Amino acid sequence: MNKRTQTRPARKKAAQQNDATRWRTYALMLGCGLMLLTGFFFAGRQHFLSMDYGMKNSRLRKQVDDLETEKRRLLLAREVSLSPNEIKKALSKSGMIEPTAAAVEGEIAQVATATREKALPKPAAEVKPMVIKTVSVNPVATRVAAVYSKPEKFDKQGRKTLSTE
Amino acid sequence: MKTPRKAKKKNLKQMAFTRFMLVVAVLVLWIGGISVRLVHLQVTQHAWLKEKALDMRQDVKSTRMLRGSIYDRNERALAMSVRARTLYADPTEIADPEATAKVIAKTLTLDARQIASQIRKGKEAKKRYVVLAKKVDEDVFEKINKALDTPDVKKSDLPYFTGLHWRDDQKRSYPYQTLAAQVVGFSNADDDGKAGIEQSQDDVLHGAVIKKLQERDRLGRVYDETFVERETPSDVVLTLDTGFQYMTEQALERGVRAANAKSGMAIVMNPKTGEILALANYPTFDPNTINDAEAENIGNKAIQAVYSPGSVFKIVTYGSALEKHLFAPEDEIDSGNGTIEIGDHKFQDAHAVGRVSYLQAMAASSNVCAIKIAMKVGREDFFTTTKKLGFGAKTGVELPAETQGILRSPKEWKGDSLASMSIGYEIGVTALQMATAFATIANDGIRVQPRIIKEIRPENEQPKVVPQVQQTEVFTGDTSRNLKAMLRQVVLTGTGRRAQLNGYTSAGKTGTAWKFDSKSKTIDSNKYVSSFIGMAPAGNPEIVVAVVLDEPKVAARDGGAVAAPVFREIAQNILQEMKVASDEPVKQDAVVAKVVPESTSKSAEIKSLPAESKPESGTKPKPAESPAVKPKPKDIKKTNDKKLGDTGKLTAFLLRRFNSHDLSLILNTKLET
Repeated sequence: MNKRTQTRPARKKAAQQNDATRWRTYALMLGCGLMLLTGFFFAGRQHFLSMDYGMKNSRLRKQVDDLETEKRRLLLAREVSLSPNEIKKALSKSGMIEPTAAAVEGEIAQVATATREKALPKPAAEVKPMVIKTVSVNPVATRVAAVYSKPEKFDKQGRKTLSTE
Repeated sequence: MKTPRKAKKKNLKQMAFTRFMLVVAVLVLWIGGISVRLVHLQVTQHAWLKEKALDMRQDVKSTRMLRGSIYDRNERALAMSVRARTLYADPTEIADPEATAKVIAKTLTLDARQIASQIRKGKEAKKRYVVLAKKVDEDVFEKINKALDTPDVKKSDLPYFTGLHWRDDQKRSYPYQTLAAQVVGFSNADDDGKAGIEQSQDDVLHGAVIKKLQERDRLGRVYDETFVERETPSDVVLTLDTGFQYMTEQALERGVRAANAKSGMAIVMNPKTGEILALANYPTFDPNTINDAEAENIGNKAIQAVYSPGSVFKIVTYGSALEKHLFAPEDEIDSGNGTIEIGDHKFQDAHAVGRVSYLQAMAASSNVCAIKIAMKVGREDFFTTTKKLGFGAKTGVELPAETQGILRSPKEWKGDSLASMSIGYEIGVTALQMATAFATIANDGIRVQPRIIKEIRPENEQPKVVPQVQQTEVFTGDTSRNLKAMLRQVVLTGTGRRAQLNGYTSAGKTGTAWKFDSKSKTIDSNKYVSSFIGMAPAGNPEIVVAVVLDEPKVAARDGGAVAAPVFREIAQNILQEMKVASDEPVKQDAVVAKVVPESTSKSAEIKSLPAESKPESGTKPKPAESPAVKPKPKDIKKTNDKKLGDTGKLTAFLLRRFNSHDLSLILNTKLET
């Protein structure tokens, strides 16, 4: 008995169909594989790019900090240059006249001298303290009746006479 | 019967199956082993591995934000912080302390043995932070990095030297040095405020710590940062004016030196707003070199030192009497022979004035008249007025360690206490309290709380203006006007004649009091506190100026002689700077008249001096010079000195008028920084 049921052309056709399916499968596998690889590639690229940007960002932030620091340092330097001591130094360096403090103090000293002359200690009997008051009690000075000198009188000839009053 | 071919086929199949199963078994074992290992790592050791990974990758960096700045009202920086760096060693990373110490000592010019000892001790104690150089500037930072650069060492941070690292730090600078030093204060090495505004506003100025979470790669490079905490410090703007402050300090210094006084204080206030425009103490100190400063100069005596005010306190006496309508300024009072006995004590006038008007009694500063007035006012009313004017309590100014002064309640007063207090004894006041009391009179009887902070400016937020608080009516308008008239008389004809201004009216009161010796608990009649407190212009005061000199040793030492000239200088300069309109004819300055340059021409004449102002009572008027008289050589010398101008005035003028660029053009020189 012949077991061959299929004819040769049918078998060829079936074989061809099997090949097509196989190739399609292979192509699909290849496509998926490529897609996967591309995904990995982009993911990797993103990862390293983000690392890179992060580092650049950090460097830029540091630059900003450094520039802020420099700006602050310059602001401080400007303020120092505007301080009276620095202006005085600049004035003296540029040759501007700088009067001595003694010239102005001299004026006050003159006032002090004039006042001192007025305030020269008087004879003991004439010294009158402004306020006789202390926390510790001092005995009150006994009263002394004031003695007033009588006014001088002049006669018609301009001679002095003592009042008889 | 099976053919041998079929049996062979079956054997082959079995062999293939067996081999296949063997391979599967190997694969199962292999993958199983890997899986077990994975589970062990991912589940069992998960926490430890995560921590280790984070530890290797992440770094927490703590930096303190820069301390807030302190500005004057014109945005001049009185205190400012800049970034600095501190060099420290990690002894655990240093293998050879001696060799490292040699290199460091050579670079930083320090003692090598001391550094080696520090590193060794740190290593033994497992310390990781040993400071080598603190708060260095940028240029020193670069210099040290260059000197310590070791090419073999691979490090992510500078310097490229094993075991050494930089830490971010900050350095506080005071560009104006001694200017307003007691007001601004200073901060210590840890950037904590220790005096002045630095201390009272420490919470506001203090930079909060920022925690930065940094992600690093295996080479230590940072690729991600997260800020965990952030709280910005604020800047403080004061009511001070740098120009006015400088003028005040210069005038005070000259006054203290001329009077050979121990110290001095001066305050300039705006009576309407309570703003303090200048607050000076002499001697002073430089906060940049705080270690060299003397401790007694650091305190702000204007708010911390208590003194007996003396006759200046008579404004309370007269004010309380005027409020009770006990007299009018033109009424007369008899001081008798210039003495009065109250209790066990006898009070005397310096010069008996006899029967005078109340105006003249104030002008002559008669103690007898003041005591008589106080007796009429009575204890309770006198004490009430004293309290209302702010004595015996802190003014509330935003400065630390303010004292409230000494004011005992009437229950503790003795028989003669009212008399003593009416002339400024048995009471302790501060200069700021006195200035505020005079500002009350200048402000038509309304007491305004003094303040020194204009606004607080947080970063990136709206500035917070300090609201004006505490306005208290102490006197009526009439009382204030009468008091001003009396104080005007003091300057016109009384003890404060040296406080007369040119072009402006002024009013004020002198004070000369013996000092209370805390050791002997008695009054020392050899030591004085002399003061002059006044306002200008008298009619509508724009400023109140208080000058107090401690222990003047020149001449009569009274307030009129030593403190009034300082008031005059300060008030004259500041009113002109403020461009306040003159309310009096400007007297042509004798100095100005003589500033005509000397000419070789014979026809050149030096103009005459203007006639002197109306002489005060009791003084002989000076004769006016005739036009044709040439000044004596002595006068010419004096003229030339005055012509040169005061460096202080010139400096203050330049400060207010020009910025640094223009200044450098004017001076034709590069200003050094």
